Amino acid sequence: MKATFRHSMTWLHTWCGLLLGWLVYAIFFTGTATYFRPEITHWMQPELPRTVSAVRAAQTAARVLEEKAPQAARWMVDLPDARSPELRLYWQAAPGARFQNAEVNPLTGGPVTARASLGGEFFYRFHFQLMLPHPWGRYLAGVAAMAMFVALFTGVIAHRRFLADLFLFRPDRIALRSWLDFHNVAGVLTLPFCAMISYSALVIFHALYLPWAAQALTPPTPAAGIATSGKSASPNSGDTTRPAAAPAAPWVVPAALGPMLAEARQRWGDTHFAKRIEFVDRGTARAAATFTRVDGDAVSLRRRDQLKFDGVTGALASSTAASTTDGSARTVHGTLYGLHLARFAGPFLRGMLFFLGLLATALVASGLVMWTIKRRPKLAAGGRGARFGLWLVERLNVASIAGLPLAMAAFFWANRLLPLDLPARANWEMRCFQFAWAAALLHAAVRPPIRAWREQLLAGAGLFVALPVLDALTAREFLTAAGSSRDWVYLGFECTAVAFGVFLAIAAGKVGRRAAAKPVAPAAKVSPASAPTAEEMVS
Amino acid sequence: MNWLGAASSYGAVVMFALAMTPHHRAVFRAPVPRRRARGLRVIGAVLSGLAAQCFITAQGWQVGTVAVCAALSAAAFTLTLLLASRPRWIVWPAVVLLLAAAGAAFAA
Repeated sequence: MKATFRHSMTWLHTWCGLLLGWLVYAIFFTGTATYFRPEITHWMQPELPRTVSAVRAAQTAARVLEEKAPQAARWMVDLPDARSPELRLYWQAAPGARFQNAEVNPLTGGPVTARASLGGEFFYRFHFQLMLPHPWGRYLAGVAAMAMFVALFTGVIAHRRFLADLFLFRPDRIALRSWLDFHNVAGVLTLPFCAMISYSALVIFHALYLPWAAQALTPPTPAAGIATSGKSASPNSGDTTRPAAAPAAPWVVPAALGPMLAEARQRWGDTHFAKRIEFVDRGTARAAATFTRVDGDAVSLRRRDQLKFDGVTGALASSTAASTTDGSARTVHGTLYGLHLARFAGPFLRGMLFFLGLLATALVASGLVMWTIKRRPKLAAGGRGARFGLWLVERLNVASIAGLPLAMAAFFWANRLLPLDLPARANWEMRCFQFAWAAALLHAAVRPPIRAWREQLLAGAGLFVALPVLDALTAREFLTAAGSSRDWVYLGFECTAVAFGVFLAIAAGKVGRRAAAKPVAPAAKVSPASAPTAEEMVS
Repeated sequence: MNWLGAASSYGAVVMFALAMTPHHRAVFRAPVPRRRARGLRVIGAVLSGLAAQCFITAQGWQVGTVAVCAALSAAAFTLTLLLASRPRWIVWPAVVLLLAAAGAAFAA
């Protein structure tokens, strides 16, 4: 092979894609599910009300915090919105101390009476923490994002007929050609989406991945949390770099939240109320409360309406967006962060992004499958090392591509089957996910690949399609209530599960048919047969 | 407006595909003449602009820009699947969708 630039890029694309493909696949898949995080939670905790008034919840929050943590230096409240009824309170006893948090009933202020479950939050956390101890999951996710980014650009270079084959997909050709067509089409059409997602993923945690600039530019402080600036949307974003108030200073009585709430409600109304309330430096003369409004029509996370109150007098200090004082770096960061989270997306755009996420997941999966189809004849006839490599990749492909949906289905089943009073119930749900995935790996290791594909895809299909049946057997009252109140979120979840199950069943059928028709696709014959379009990665 | 945007996106990618000989041949059994190809591309570009305009009117320029990119990608993949399975069916959904969405948008 002549070592041209394009060949080098193809080589890089192949190996970068193979080594991190399994990880990228899992991250894309769970990340795509995260587009519907509150909706998944709604199905997994059906005891919770569908919607709660944010104003009412804010009043509850003010009362509960006043009882629970009157002397806390910092309060933070995440209010319910149109998609989520959750009210979560965070407080910090002193600057730099650990945050404590509690989810409370937004109406009564008492504990939440729903089954313990992480719901959609599980997929959200998995997709960048990978169930690893902090910060290793985030590092690994960063490596995966970088690999995806490299694979995208090397893929564009490797793909010779970028525009000419824009809409070309020939499922009736031999296996390798069809897979390559699909991989090309999915790659080109999701290129803007994938580039945006993988680049913004890197930018979100820039302070974790490249901490040195921040270290060099900020003077060292005792509790310097360098990795916090990239997490402005998470509760522990609290900037721990804030200099501590003098410990001996007397407690300055902070203003009550009630009148501020009334002012915010008067300005913003009930339907488009605040999403977060933050009350910092309580007990000092610098105390300040900030109300940040629910994401509106801006992409950037920082371009949201804010009301700032003096925390001692309770008077309104300013009413501008956080972005007005931002420099260009913060603007870019906020915009990319906002694009990645897509909180701005209404149901229509969210649906399209979900579709693109699934397509990008399929893109990664098709690349992994192609690696084995292309090399199977050569590797199977090769030495021990080559045969082991093929064996390993084939097994890992089955366990990741077919095993992950199976594990996700097991997670949903666990939600309905585990006893409601089981201690650490939410953890058991996660364990079921892990057990199912481990079982898929074991199964893939002992079964012949084609059988393993079929069996795991069919098992996943069965579990997803039967989800409404399981729901009718174990949580009939919620299903009936959803049906009679036309709760489309609840019913939509079940419809999506059934549709996905049907898709897996069709895939299982195709695996069997292809295997029966052409057990092995001879790679050497591909190029001449479909020339001139089948060059590059095939040759 | 969102639906008109989506319909225009689909219409736009159909025009771009028909301006390419293999797809034109699959639909009309004949290669595409050069002038016709140019005309189809122009209509495609106009429809893309219309889609952008619809989404921006509906959701503001920031979210609208994201929406038009997503809609064009999603429409292009849908078209790809149709071209692979039922190439002769690609045109009428574009016409029906565009008319229906335009009717709904102006009625609203």
